Amino acid sequence: MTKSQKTESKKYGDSLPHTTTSLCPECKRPIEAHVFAKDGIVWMKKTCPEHGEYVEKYWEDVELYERARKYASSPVFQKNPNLESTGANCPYDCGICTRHKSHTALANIVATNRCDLSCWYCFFYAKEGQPVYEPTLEQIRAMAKNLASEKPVPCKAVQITGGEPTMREDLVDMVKIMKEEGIDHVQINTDAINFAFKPELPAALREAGSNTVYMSFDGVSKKSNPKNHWEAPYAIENCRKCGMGIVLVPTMIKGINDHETGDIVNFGLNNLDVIKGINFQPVSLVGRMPQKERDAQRITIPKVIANIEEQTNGVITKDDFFPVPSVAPITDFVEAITGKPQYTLSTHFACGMATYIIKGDDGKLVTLPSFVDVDGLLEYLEEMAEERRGKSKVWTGIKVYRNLGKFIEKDKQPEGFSLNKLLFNALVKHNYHAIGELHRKSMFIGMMHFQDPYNYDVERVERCCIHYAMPDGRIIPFCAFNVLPEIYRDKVQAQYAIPAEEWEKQTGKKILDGKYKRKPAPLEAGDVYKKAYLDIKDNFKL
Amino acid sequence: MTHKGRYGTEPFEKVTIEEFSLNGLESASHAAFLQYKVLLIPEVVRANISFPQKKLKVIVSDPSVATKKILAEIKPVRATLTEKGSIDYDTLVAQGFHDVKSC
Repeated sequence: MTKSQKTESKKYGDSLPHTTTSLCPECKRPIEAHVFAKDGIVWMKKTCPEHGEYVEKYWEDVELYERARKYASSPVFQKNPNLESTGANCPYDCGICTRHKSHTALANIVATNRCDLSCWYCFFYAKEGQPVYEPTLEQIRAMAKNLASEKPVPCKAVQITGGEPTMREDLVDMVKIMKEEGIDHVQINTDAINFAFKPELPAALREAGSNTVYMSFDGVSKKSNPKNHWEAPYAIENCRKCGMGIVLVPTMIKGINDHETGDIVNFGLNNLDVIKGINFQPVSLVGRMPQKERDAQRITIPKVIANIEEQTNGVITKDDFFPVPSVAPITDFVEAITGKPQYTLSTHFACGMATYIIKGDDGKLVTLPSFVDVDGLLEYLEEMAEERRGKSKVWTGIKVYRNLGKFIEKDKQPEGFSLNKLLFNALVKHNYHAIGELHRKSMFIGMMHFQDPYNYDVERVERCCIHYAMPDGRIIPFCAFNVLPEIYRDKVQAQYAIPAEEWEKQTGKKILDGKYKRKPAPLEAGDVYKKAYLDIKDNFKL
Repeated sequence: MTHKGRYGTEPFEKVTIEEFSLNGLESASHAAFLQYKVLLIPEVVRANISFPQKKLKVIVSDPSVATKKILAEIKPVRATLTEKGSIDYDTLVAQGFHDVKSC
């Protein structure tokens, strides 16, 4: 744990047990919640004066929670908040307000609420006859400008999402607008069905400046991934052809697909040339759900990690994972070197964890923390950030270059991979193309647990760095936007939506015509499908 | 949506600002919950309740409907209208957009 982490760690997520503010899942009133350890699990307990007591799993591993807590980082307040509000009534005051403790790291822009699928569990997409929300390109540009004008750290990463964003025929134009407005990273959040059948679509998006597809992928079997099991291989192939990187996004549900956690990682590694990461999302239980049903489906970050460890036969372990804010010392160091405010992931430590797995030239898989003293390196960078003040960049650069090697066990490093060189280029030369080297040979394995009314923790919302831009000028944290849709997402989209009949009249289309009708047999008969699921190497075989 | 504004087509041309002094607020969390309930009213565009100042500020699209609903929603807290005015919706939105140049 670094010096600054030690001093800041008490500012939130205090030692167990502690209290925080949550919501009543029924009436959404703010209520005090107790976060405590029992039987090796972290629980949240709260009582609504009207609707009674709720006890919910918060994190399924006390030991891992305590380790993650040590990486709590300093807040980053927005210097030009979008609202005058003080946030005293958090989470009903979002916008971003003056109280919010993280800048926007990734902003979502909803392109449409139409979808080509009609998943039974989704209540977001426009059903037949419901109003259609589709911001104009002009509004999209305004939202992009808004994000890029954030201070002290402009938001330079946007995810275009939906509904299903590929339903919009002007999606490529949206990507162009993002680039014109200075957004460096534009990713498309999609079920990828249109990517499977229209190879020209990912190619055009890539050409326009998007480099990542955030692709729903809930498992390797038909049963676990009814959403896009048949189409995913074809979508991946079309992305491969045009150089579009993919991050797989499995929503993990206990008893549904958690037995395929390791298989998903293995699937990614079999497509390492195109799949750059996997971001597991433990299910967010939105909507009313009885305790028994919640207990049956609830899974949290530590359990997903435990599944990875078990199902990869210990190639990836619990110790390989670090919480999102652990990277704060890296940011501090780059800030000290460049003198400019940098992207800072000051997210709550309980929101997400991640690691990297690298494939050497000999095909051997090695996790990054298994050959890097991560804690030692972070502490050293923190010290160097302090020392840099008043000294020349060159002097610090030479010193860091000489010492980086101390934290890397070269004999354990994957063959053909030099982390020392990569870190020097990224940290000292500030050359982020150097990170491309890491991405060519490695795969990011992360997880982000979006909240629901049962496990809601306002301390987490205050530190959220994944936001939604809205056409009314506000920017809303993810877990406010989606957990309180009635006052954010749905309310504003209803204001800006047009009736379905009007949309159909304007476009000359029928909403239902956009629905996908699957024909599995020809897809299963294709070589691309067979290669993806049948001709696959088991990277974790004992 | 009919109005063409500075940031694209907007749902309202003008909105009404109303400020009420409140009597009967119990606590900060009570104020927060009432704010949530007021925000559920479709005609309410923005709402904020300050517990220290015992004040409710709302921005509504249709005051003839919204005000009655607000007063009913916050009962038994009593509200007295202290200020009323109107602004262009564009002006409200511009605050969120950091007054970035129109598109």
